[in-house]
Amino acid sequence: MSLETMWEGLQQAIHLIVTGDPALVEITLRSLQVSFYAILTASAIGVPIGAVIGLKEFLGKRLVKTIFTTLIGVPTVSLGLFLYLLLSRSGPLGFLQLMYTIQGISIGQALLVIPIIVSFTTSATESRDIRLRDLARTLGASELETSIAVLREASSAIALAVVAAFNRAFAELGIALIIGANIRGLTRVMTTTIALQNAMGETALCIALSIILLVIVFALNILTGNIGAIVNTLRKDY
Amino acid sequence: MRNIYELDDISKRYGKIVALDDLTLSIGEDSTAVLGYSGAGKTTLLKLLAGLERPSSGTIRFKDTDVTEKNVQDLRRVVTMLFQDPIFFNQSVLENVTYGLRIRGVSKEVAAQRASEALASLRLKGFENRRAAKLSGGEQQRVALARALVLEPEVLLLDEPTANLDPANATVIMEVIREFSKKSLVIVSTHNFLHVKTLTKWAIYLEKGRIIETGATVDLLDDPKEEGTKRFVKGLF
Repeated sequence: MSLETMWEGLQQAIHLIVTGDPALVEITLRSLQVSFYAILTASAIGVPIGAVIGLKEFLGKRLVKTIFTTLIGVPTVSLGLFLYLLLSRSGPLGFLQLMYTIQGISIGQALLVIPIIVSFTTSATESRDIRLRDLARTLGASELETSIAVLREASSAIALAVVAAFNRAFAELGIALIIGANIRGLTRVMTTTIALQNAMGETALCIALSIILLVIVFALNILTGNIGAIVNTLRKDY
Repeated sequence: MRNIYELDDISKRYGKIVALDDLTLSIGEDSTAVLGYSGAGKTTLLKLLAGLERPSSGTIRFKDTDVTEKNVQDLRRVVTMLFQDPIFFNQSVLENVTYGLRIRGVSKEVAAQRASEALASLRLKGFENRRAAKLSGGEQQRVALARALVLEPEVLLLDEPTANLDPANATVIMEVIREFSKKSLVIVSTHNFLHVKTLTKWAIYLEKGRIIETGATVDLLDDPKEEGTKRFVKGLF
């Protein structure tokens, strides 16, 4: 591709963004929706698991932590393939009819980022001063109230984990491609469009989506970097 | 005089380290001092009494109820410990002081009122909205004491409450504790003999996790019987 073609594509992409091209908006919103549900599910599962691992002492704790840390690095295509084998019509979970649906992609992305949320939450709760637990207990807190108090103290680090997980889910390709199959109007999301539609001549759309993807990821990274300060501001730091 | 605590053959080990070794002890209604060199097991003993640690062996009874394994939560609702280095939730002074009341179901308004009274008694009026972690060491220890006293515990355990504090802060804290000790049991670990004498009637001297001597505070400090206690009182190793 010549530099001239690239420049032309970039100009068209900016035009698509400025004019709010319907296809661009639809794909962007679908991507956000899919990843939002994935993060919601992953947080509901991952934060409590991470908190339990971080707060409790049990046999094999180190092994469990290592497993979750290892799972952070699972390639998205491998997880996508594994889910395909499970969810395809002849697979053991084929009856759920989740193949080629955004729900299927959301579940896949949730499975992808649960290890991130679990590991970060574990680390966040473990790194809180151990005396905080004694403090809560000596003020009369039950074990549950103590855990909640420690989690609240670790909230900015946990929020950071959730943002990082969203980042990962939003930018992943393998699961969206294998489970969603890039069906127009149904499962087409930003990453699958960028990966597949360029070859079909929709370069401007792909560049526009790449710009939006980068902007969102960039914004999330800024948010991640400042999350501690934001939390402190919300707490009215005197 | 009835016993509040009864400890039977209590040992506490952390791996190979023996923090407390075969302690048998009764603590009555008189304020009590736990004395000993650093590392003698004083903090461990206080934590066991607070229900924050469980013994490796032996039994602990609180007002005739076994609190060794069961009923620990009930114990923590009536016994509060003040730590040597105060620690706070990352919240305002008011939120820290009302925490214990709020989890007991006290309404926000009543809790705030009681917290303000407790803070005022420690000369911290107007500190409610300050961030606890940003106060000076002396102010922090006074907030920590207010947080403990607002719960009106049956037993207040104090681990070196005036260590590292300037005389003014130490005086305020000791005045309030002395007043509190008139209605509730106070068990204090401190190296300040003046505080021990003015606050407590009974004393326990620990060495390497073992009880060396117990007795009336005045007797133990002025006329110790055991060699270890004599060395400790004279400030010798």
